[in-house]
Amino acid sequence: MNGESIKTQQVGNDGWDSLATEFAGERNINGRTQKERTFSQMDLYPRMKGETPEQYGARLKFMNQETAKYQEEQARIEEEERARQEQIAYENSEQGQREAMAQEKYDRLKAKLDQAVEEGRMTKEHADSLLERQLKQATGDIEAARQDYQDRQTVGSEEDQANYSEWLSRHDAENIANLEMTGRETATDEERARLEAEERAKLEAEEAAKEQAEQEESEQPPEESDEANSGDDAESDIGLDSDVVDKLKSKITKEKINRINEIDERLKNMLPDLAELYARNRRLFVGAKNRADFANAKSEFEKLLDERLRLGAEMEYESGKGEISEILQNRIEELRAEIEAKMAEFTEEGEKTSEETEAKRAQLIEEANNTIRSEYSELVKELESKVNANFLAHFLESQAKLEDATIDALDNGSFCRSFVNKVINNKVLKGALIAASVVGLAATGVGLATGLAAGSMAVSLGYTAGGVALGAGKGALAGGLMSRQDSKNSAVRGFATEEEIKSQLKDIDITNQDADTSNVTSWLMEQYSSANEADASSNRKRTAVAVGIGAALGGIMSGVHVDNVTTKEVTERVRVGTEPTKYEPTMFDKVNIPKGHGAYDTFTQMGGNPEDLQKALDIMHSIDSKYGMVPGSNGETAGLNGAVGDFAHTYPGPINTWPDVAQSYIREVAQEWARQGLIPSTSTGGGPIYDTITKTVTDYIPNAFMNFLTRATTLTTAAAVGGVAGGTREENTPRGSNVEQEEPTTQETPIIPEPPEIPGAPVFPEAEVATESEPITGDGIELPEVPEEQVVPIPEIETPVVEPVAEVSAEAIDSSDVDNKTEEIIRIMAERGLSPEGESGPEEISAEDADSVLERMRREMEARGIMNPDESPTSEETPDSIIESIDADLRDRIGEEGIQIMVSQEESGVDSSSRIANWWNSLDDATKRDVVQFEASADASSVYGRALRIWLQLNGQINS
Amino acid sequence: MFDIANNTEFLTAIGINNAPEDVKAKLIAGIEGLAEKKLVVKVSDIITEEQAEEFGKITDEQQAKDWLEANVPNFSALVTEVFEEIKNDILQHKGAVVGQ
Repeated sequence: MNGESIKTQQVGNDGWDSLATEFAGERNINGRTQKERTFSQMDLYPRMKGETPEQYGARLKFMNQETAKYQEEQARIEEEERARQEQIAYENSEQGQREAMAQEKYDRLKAKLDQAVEEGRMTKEHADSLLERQLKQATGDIEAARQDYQDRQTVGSEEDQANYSEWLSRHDAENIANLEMTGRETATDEERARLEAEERAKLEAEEAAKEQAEQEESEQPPEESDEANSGDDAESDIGLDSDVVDKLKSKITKEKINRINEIDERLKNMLPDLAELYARNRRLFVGAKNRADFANAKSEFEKLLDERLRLGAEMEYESGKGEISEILQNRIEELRAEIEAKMAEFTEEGEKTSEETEAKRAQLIEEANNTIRSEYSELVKELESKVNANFLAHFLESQAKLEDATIDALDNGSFCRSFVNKVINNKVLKGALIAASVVGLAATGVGLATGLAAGSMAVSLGYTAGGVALGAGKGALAGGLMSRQDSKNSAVRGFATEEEIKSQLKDIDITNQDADTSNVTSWLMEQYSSANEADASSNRKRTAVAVGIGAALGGIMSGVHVDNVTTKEVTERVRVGTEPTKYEPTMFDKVNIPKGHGAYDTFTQMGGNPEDLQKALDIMHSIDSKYGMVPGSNGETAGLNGAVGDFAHTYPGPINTWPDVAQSYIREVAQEWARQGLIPSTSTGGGPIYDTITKTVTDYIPNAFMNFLTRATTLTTAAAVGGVAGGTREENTPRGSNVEQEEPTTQETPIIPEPPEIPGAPVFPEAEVATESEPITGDGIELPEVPEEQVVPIPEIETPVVEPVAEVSAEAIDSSDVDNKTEEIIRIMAERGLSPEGESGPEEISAEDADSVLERMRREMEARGIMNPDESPTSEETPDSIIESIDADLRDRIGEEGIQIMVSQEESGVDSSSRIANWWNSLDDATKRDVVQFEASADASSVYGRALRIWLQLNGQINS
Repeated sequence: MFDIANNTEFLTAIGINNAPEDVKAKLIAGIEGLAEKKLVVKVSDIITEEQAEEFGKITDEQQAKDWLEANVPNFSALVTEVFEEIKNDILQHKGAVVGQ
């Protein structure tokens, strides 16, 4: 071998060259394209393999194909990976999160709306509309996010990304440049800069808004997201205040609705019971338990009602807010569109600086906010008004139901009307009490009658007609007689004239109490012993005289209490509780006392002259002023109500117990009466006025007058009458007995002289005196002779001089002496031959016959219809027996008060009268009639219930 | 009787003076109805059963009013008292519920 070179060796290159050429191609080696073929390796390797070019070429081709596939696959994988990474990067980016949140928001709203539609709280159409709106929003948000991300990606380097704003500026510049390239007028640098700034501001504003929305969205709890939240972004777009946003939130829950229904049911069930308690609680005497029950039930009811009202208001408010929210949302959308439209108009007006644009936008936003607030405010007001109205409606409805239930409870009788009745009755009672002055005045008459009735007590002790006991005895007798006065027994009526009285008693020395006593006693005894008198009429008259005297005596003996009231107090007493009235003349002031008046009729029947009565009153009036008396409260009669009535009311006791001024007043009146001849100066009573008044017991005014008159009259016979008036004022004379009298002094004892002749004064005819017989006084006082023609024929009774009955004196005689005195009287009668049966003759009556005498007297009195002086409540009569005698039904109707009154042993007085009047006025008419019937048939002399009987008599319910 | 419809002070106090007319009218009617019921209960405490029976026979409103004024002491004052009571109840409950 020689050195021939390989190179020069050509080996059959025909196949390989073409192959080389075929596969020469381009080779990408390190990015460079090589078109060189290198054959050497390729040429050598296959040759060494022994491959042919064709084989080697096939193999290369296959390898290239496979390589291409591999490379494509690799490229795809790489691409996918790259995309995935980019996606991850995007998702992790801010923009990616915005997109995710927008998507999530949409998804949540869709779920909520679907649920609302399912629960029937919202129509599907409404939900779809809202969802579409949200979808639009969400889509916009997503696109915006992605675009933003892309923009950032094109920044390039990380450095640029970190300085996005700067990049943006450059980007804007490119955009501007692109804009220029797209046909815009070539902007100047300044214009270009301005455009760039505007674009930049816009982008920044949008960026900031989105960031804010995202911030709020991120802070909001997911569960609160609802349709209302859909407006958040919109709201934030135009910058609504947060409080407005808060008010858009509403929570109407099922639980609230259920609670409302529950309360409504409870309230409905509570109403009847509450009404019942309400009605029961309004009764007058409701127990503590009832009050507590009602208070508790009422409290529970009101709590429930308040809760119901609150829930209802919330429902109304919340539902209203829901409506408002929807309304507001729509308005936001509208306002937004308006803003954009106005901004477009603004910019089209001409070139605007960025500041101007910015300011304009801010202005539009503020205006939109104000519009929203204003419209919302009106909506809220309307909502609140609706809430208020619904609250009121429900409140009124519940209250009305309660009142209806209460009324039903009342109508069912569960409400006691006793309180109402009591109120009504009390009103009547009040009216009666207001007129108590009338009632009180009647007490004066009652007081008199009490005294008269009190006589029955003494009578019950067995006094004879003589009534030995001073005052008590006479009063007792007189009382007994008086109680029969005006009885149906006409025999009692038509009493003795004043002449008879005067004739019998005129010469009695009133200063001589002993004498008086004897005279009176004897005289009275005579009257009762007139059973044998031929003239029954005369007898009756004499009896009547006794009655008259007894009335006087009884009046003195009346009274229970004594007040020490000064004149001033009396005067004020008249005024207290009454309107001071101007004194006006009354019927009593007139000359003619109205006919038909009891005083008038009786007086005139007796032959009296009404002018005498008037004169007596005039005297009183004239003296009233001297003592400072005032007209009575009813102005009826001067002094009568104010003085007399009050005196009688206040001082029912003996005159000598009255205050100085009162005594002085009455004595002066009495003296003047005597001077005027109106009353006997020396009699124990009688006189035209007196007799008249004593017969009239039905009129409270005459009663008061009578009472006063009685007292005045007694002054004229101070020593004679019970020894009462003649006493000192310091002494408090107890009723009925133990009349201790000091020796009447000249000043103390009203010594009434013979009435002087007074022109015009009535001239009383001479009294018809007794017979020629010895004076019956028995005290040594001789009566003047009486002209024969004036002698009234009386039964001839030999009346021997009666020795002074020492035991019968004006000194204190208590009840313990009564019996003794009775015996004494009987003895005297016997000695004088007095017989109840009118037997004349000096035959002696033995003491043993005294009892029969008394018995005959009693029978005689009974026959004459007058009370048996010896009559007394039977031994069988007791309070229980009286109660038992009252019909059971009547007992129930009169009540305990009535029972007490009907068995009371009280004598009439002011207190009793008031009590009776109060009780009487509480009775219904039927009960009153029954009471009257009972009392009218009762024993008038009974000690039980006599105050009531007297009261009934005085008030015209029972004829006395 | 108490003229609630023209009593702006009363209506303002209970918050319905500016309410829509139809709403106001309904509420006024409700208040008057409630007041009548309350008066029935109060008057029943005052009059007797006989008076109640007598009043029940009256059909004319004016006569009824005249009868009440004549037979129920201080009837006008009683009516005013009832409306004041209703107003106070409303305000009390309203304060606890609506917070106004």
